[in-house]
Amino acid sequence: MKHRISTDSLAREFRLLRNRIEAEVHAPAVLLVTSATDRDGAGLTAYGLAESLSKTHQRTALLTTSATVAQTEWSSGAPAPRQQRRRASDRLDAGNIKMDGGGFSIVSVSHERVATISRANIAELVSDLRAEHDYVVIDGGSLPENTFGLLLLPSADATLVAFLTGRAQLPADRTMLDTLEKAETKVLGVVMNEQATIDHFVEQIPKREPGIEREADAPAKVVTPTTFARRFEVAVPRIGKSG
Amino acid sequence: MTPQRFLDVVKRRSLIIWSVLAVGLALMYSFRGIVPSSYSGVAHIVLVAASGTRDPSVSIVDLPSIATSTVVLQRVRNSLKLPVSLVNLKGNVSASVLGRSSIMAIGYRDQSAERAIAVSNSVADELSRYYDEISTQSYDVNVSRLSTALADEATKRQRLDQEMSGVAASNPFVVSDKSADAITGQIAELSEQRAIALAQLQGDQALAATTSPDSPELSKTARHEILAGDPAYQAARVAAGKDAAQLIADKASYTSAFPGLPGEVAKVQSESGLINNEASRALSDPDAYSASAAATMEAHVHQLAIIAGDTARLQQLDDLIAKATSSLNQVPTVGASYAQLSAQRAAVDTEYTALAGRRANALADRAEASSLGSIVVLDRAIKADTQLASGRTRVAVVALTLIIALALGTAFLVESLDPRIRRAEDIEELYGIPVVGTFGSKA
Repeated sequence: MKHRISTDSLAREFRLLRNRIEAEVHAPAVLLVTSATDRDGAGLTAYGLAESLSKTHQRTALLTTSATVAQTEWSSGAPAPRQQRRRASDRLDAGNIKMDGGGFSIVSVSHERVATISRANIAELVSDLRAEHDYVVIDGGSLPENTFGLLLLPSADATLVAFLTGRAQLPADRTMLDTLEKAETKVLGVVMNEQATIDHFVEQIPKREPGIEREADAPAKVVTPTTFARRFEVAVPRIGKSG
Repeated sequence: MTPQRFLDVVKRRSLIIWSVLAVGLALMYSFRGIVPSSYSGVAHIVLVAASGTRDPSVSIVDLPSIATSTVVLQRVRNSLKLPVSLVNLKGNVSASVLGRSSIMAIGYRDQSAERAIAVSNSVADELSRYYDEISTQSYDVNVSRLSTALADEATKRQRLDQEMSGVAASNPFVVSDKSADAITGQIAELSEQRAIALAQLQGDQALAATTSPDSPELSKTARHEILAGDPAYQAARVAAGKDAAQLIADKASYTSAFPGLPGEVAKVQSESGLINNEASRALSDPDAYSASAAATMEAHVHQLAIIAGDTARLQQLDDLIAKATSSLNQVPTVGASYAQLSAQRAAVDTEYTALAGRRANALADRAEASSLGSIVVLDRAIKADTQLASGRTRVAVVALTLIIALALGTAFLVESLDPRIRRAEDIEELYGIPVVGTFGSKA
């Protein structure tokens, strides 16, 4: 059952989270958002945090493997389903994630490519993003279920753990904690996801009015870092902000 | 548990709560008929306090507690012989002050309308009486102690009276202040009476001697009267007289040679012996009667009785004199004892009088205290005031409360059995790291 979530309250909740993180982790910094399961909302947390950070910091990047969030058709040559693509495309085309003060960059790496990218390359990508942004938010996904977060864990200055409330305790929780403990990363804390979904973000984006030319029809502007995009077949679109 | 946590659980388990409520209400509706009706009787009392005085006992705010106290309710239970326990009685009695007035309503709920009225009125009456007791309790204690002391003094006085009566009975003269003079005077009077009685006795004895049946004169008279009344003696005497006369006549007419004289002499002699025999016979006859002898005997007996009375009178006077003399001799010892008892009784009288005065004052104080404030039954419960009480409503409220509690309890039981994690505390306990943010809260 889908419940209603006020967009205002959602923005306020991420604003509070942002304020706390800014107080504890000073820019430039790389923040890894991970979780025990894929359904805990690590991607959503990373997205909302990046969006909120972009309101106070001009340079914010989101590194994700989520096909829902990013334009996956640019990432790996293995397009996501059409409907999913369109929805993400619509959101990005409308430019509504470009908030006051500017938008943020989304760097998407497909799951398939992650397996082929070396740890050194990933570290190099993060280092490059860190050099050009105040905050780099990484959607690490589920630590026990995929390797993306595991690859990025040594590069992160601090880690946030997303938890979907209303689920039972799982063995994956223990696995994730053991992984974090072994990595000796700085864990800021847990972000509780009160069963929000990406749809709550999508719904706040107004539909494009008929007759208005779609910016998405034009080629996306891959502004940074093109070299990494070319080398690792990583799509690095720049949303709402020219080059 | 915080209110927010409570509301969260209620919202999350609303389906369970509504389901239990629906089932419970359906059951309550189905069984509504088994709850009997009850009636409520209400009486009103007013606390009246004398103006300008301070009520020494309790105020109006204390009355509800007193009205529902076990002391009052036990009295009501005993007076009405109620077949209900004190706990049930207390549970069904209500007492509340109406606003800021001095009027208090006393209600009782029962399945019997008559009993509801009777109990509410009885509680009002007993409350009024108990209030008076409370108001005058300190005075009651004082009066009771004084009454006990008075009773003790009365007993002591009665005992002294008995002892004094005993002493006075043994020596009546000790009652008088001049007992010796009184006794001496009495002895003199008794001695004088004794002298008179003695003279009287001696006179009567002398008179009795004159009427003694043993006197010769009386014997002669009695012999004469007996023989005169005996016909055989008289006939023998007449015949002997005639023959003696004939003999005298023949002796005068004839000589001693007359042959008839010896016969006549022998006849006279024989008749003389016959007369003696007849006289002996007549005198020894049991039926022989002499009027003089009888009268003399009667007078003699009477005189002997007078002598006996005189003797008794004399003996009585002697006893009285002896007793008076003895009393006179006992005056020094018995009189002192009686005087001591008299002194003790006077002291007891004084104490008794003082206690009686103090008790009278205490009673006056008690009466004054009881007049300072009292409870008046303003409005007794009557038939028209009987109303259908909220018996079913009360049961319904209780049942509804239980159903709600059951619904909430079921919801929280299900919540406790649900392994899903929803609270920040649970997450922090699970991960061992703090919760730094929350998003996606429901609108």
